[in-house]
Amino acid sequence: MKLAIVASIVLGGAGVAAAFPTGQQFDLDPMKEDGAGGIAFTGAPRWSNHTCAVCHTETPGKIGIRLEADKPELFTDGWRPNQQYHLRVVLENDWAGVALKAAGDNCGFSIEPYKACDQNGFALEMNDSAGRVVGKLVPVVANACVNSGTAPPDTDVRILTDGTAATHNGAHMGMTSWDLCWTAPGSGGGAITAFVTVVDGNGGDGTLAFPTNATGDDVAAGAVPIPEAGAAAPPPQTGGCNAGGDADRGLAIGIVLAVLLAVRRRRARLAAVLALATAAGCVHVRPRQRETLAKRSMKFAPDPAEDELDLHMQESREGSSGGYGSSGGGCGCN
Amino acid sequence: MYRSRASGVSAMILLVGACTTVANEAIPDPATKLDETVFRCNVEPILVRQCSYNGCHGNPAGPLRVYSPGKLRANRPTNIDDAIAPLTEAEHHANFRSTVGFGVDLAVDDNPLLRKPLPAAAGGFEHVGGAIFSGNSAGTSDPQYIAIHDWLSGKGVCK
Repeated sequence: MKLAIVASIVLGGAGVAAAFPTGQQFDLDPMKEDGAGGIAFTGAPRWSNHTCAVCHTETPGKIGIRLEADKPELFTDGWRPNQQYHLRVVLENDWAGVALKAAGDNCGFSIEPYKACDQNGFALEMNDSAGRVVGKLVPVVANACVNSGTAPPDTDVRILTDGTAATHNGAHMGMTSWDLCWTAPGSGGGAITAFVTVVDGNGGDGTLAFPTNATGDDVAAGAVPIPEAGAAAPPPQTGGCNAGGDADRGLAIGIVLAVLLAVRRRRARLAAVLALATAAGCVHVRPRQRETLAKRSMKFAPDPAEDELDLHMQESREGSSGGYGSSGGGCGCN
Repeated sequence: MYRSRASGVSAMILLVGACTTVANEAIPDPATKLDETVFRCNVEPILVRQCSYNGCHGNPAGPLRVYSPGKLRANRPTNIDDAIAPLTEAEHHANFRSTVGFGVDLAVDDNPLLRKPLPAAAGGFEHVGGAIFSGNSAGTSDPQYIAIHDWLSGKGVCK
């Protein structure tokens, strides 16, 4: 089957190694075992846009993600009701643990002496515009969607018990792509977003003591908007000028080129470039991102009363005043 | 002359009358107000499932430090078996102590454990991890919110 490249979005992340080397761990009870209690942080709104970077921190962000489909019109014309699509998640620019890749599955506990494995992973889910999971995900075996029955244990993709997301299964090492099938919902669902995140694991600390951990890995995450075929185009994003996505990036590049072509004089063109660069600095800060700005140390005058006291003491001791940017003190009140 | 002296004496008496002893008493231990058994049943599983990740509250440097299997442990594990072992009694208790330290003298609805993870529209604020109680636009009907609210209110029951 030929898979057509559709969307390529890469964002940086942070973190440690493949903390969940097997897909089953995403369903395990986190109080009793090394599990996630049914959460696969795909970057979807229902998980506060969290990705694998919640654990795999301080990653360099050198890897990328590519999402492919057997029907490339999925990403151009949109999804069609009840249509099943064969998707492929591709980890690009794999670097962490890449030296271990050559060993393939010939690694791990069964090898004497122990040899670390190149364990990579992913998570994906499909949401409608309200943030609800839509459609049905199934794994792929022998290039065919497993629409009935149970997939064999060595399948490379696992679906969460509640069916909401797909993850790696961990059956094979050195994986940089995972195949799965997604059946679109019925008509009228509107625009859908594919939330996908990948981890490039480095094989833990290289020893049998810690075959996996959450350090030294790399993470990428992205969101691919998919319109509904035949439906009206989704409204443009509002509320800020930091809209992500290739479409917005392409539009921005188009505007820049149009302005530069229209402005012929060198000085005017330079001014236009500076103006456009300034405009690019505009960003919409969300309330939850204002914690640092709200800190006391970020204010020029964090405590006016303290400033008044400082001024008062300065006047008393040095016979001078001013310089604190606040009123107060006064004469004769020592 | 006598009038001004009387005024001075009156002022002195008033000033002396303003003197008082300010007690520097310790506040009650918040742990005594909250049920640790209910915490372990109803609240700790929420914190471990939602909050214990390394980049979040599974970081010893941050507030509301949460120990959990496979992530942050009280004692540095020497191998992965130790790392993923169930929490010890000491770690359970440490999670309780870490949690009860949050604004126990505040009204329950204003407790940061409840307020910060709410959606902004429902009064949530400054939570770096965003809205966690996002089951609906209000967030206050999220089962996790209700469980923590009940515990802080002393109404929680360990089932």
